[in-house]
Amino acid sequence: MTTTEKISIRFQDLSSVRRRTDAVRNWALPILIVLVFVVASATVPEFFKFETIRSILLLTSITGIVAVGMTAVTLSGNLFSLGVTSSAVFSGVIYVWVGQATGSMYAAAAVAIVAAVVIGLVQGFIVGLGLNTVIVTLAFGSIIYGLIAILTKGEVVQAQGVNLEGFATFQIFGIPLPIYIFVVFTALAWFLTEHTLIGRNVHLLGSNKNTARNSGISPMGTTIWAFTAFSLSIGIAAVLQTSQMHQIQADNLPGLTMDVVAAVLVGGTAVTGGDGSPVKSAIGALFIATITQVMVLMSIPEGQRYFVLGVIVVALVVVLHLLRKAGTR
Amino acid sequence: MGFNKKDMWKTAVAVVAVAGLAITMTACSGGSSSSDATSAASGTGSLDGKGALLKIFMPSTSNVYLAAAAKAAAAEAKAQGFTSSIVENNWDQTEEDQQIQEWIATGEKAAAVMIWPVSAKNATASIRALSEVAPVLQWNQLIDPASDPFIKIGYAGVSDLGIGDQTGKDTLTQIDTLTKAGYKFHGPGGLPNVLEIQLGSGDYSAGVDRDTAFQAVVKGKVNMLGVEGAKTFDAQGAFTAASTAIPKYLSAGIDIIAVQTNDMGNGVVQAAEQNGLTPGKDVFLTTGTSSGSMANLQSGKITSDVLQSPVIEGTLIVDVVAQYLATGSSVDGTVTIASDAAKPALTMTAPTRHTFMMNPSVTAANIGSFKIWGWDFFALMGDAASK
Repeated sequence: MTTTEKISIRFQDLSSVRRRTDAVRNWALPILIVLVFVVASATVPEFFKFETIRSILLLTSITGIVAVGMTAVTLSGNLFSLGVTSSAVFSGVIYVWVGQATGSMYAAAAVAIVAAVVIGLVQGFIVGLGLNTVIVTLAFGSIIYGLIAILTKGEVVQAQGVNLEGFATFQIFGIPLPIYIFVVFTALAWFLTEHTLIGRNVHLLGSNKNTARNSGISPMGTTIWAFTAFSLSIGIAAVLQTSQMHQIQADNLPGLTMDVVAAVLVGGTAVTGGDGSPVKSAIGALFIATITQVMVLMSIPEGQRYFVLGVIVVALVVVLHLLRKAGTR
Repeated sequence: MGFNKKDMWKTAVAVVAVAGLAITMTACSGGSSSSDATSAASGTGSLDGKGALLKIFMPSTSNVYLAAAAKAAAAEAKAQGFTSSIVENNWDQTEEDQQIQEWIATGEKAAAVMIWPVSAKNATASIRALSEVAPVLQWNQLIDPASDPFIKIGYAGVSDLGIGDQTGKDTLTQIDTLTKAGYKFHGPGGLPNVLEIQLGSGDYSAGVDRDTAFQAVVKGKVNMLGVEGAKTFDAQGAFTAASTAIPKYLSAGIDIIAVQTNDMGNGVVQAAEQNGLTPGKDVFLTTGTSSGSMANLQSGKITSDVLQSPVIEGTLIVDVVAQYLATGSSVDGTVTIASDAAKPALTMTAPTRHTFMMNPSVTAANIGSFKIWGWDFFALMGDAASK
């Protein structure tokens, strides 16, 4: 056997290993979630019921929408935004105020989403200049939180005599609108990420910034695009959230940022960027909500639930990371 | 036995040294109990603060309840002739500890210190340090036994046990009303099935105390389906908790959902409706702290709240301190202040060591006519509740 043949066989072996690890990585979570559904349906009373499944999907929807949006930021190599909560609350406050002023939930939603996008654009621009994402988003989070506290004086913000609930309460076949919006938003994000030039640019920027720059991709433009997509998701989630609760307050949604980060990580998106998918992040959010619901139905005490969920998240993230490393050797 | 001159000198020096040492020790021991404590021991004899400083340490007033309490405390301090100064922390006991150390180091003199510890169990060292420079009152969070020896004035403020107790009584009242109306409950033996939504996951003392008091009142009169903790203490946290818990008990039939705050109750209303229930018709919500939007209470989706007024709490802590400083003592025991329509005049009597706020029930029927200490319901809540 010649040296060239040996090298060729070696490359074929490596390619085969990569394909196998990629397959495991891509299908591990969907298979796991199907397994959880099957086992829970067979063993946990009250699980396989319309109300339970609807509850899981509804609880997934808001976290899931933001996780899908956050995927763009992470994919582009910009880690995570840690200012999700304050941007969402700000957008929610705008939704109520504009709704109260105009009497239209559609106008209110449009302005609230635009407000979120503007905040995202500014953050994207600063990060695009080369500043650290964590520091920029934490600082913005603090500024926005302070602004909300000043503007609202810490009061509960709610609309009087205006119906702003429609986005959350409208149902089709007994399924609330936020679930449909979650599915459509995820599909749209998947298409943009996987089948458009800007999506490929985001992937490449996250994989290797220098190569991306040498290929003519603008790190600034791509980063701004990623933050725009992310802030759009925050605006949508904020409208749905505020619509659901009929009110919003400065210190609401304290756990949203970490829930979103957990969903993205469980979904298998590489923290370093370049590898991941919005669909996987959506499945990550669904997985966390499903496991939580199963544990509630099994009457597992809350402290133990957080412990188990934490262990599962860490285990999944470690396994997915090891598989990714094995696939790139 | 005779003394020579040398021995006499030695004896004289020894006597002077011992006397000097004794005088010094006496002076030192007087100094260690601090001038504030000494004056407090006899009392100033006047309820007028005469410009003396009340130092308040508490978590951030970005929370609407704390903002209203702080505002009320400052107003009452001014009314009683004190000056007041508030130091806020971002819900961080370590930060509060550091602020206390820094304040002590400034040497500023205060007539009394009022501390809302972020974590009562972890605030003992700070309370001990504060007790060296001024008499201390603890508020909002019950005194931990380890801190008790260092708290000269006592505790004033909210009673989580009282709120849980009143929520239980309101639940029984609702059951009586429904029974008289011929409502059929879903529990075994015709008992009402009750689900409780709690503050925190069983490790938050306020949630545990409220649950304990609630269950003590309703024991044997309801069938407890379960207690579900809310990870965050807002409407969204309760919505999430209730959304996962309600499907579990839907088939058994949920008659009453007891929620530890009205704000959380607003989230539970949404969760119940999303699961096909109609609050006020086929499920009934009794709640604790009267915070957040009152729209669901006024429309009948929530049947009752329990008054927890930040305005009363802020006012009460200053009044208790004023009485302590005037009389120089506090009396052992526990008292819950009455729900008087007009504020009783402050008297020159020693305050009770544990002074709790009143916990009357708030309903759609009485919210409009509420009057305590001259304030209506929304004035009592400051900005912590809205229509």
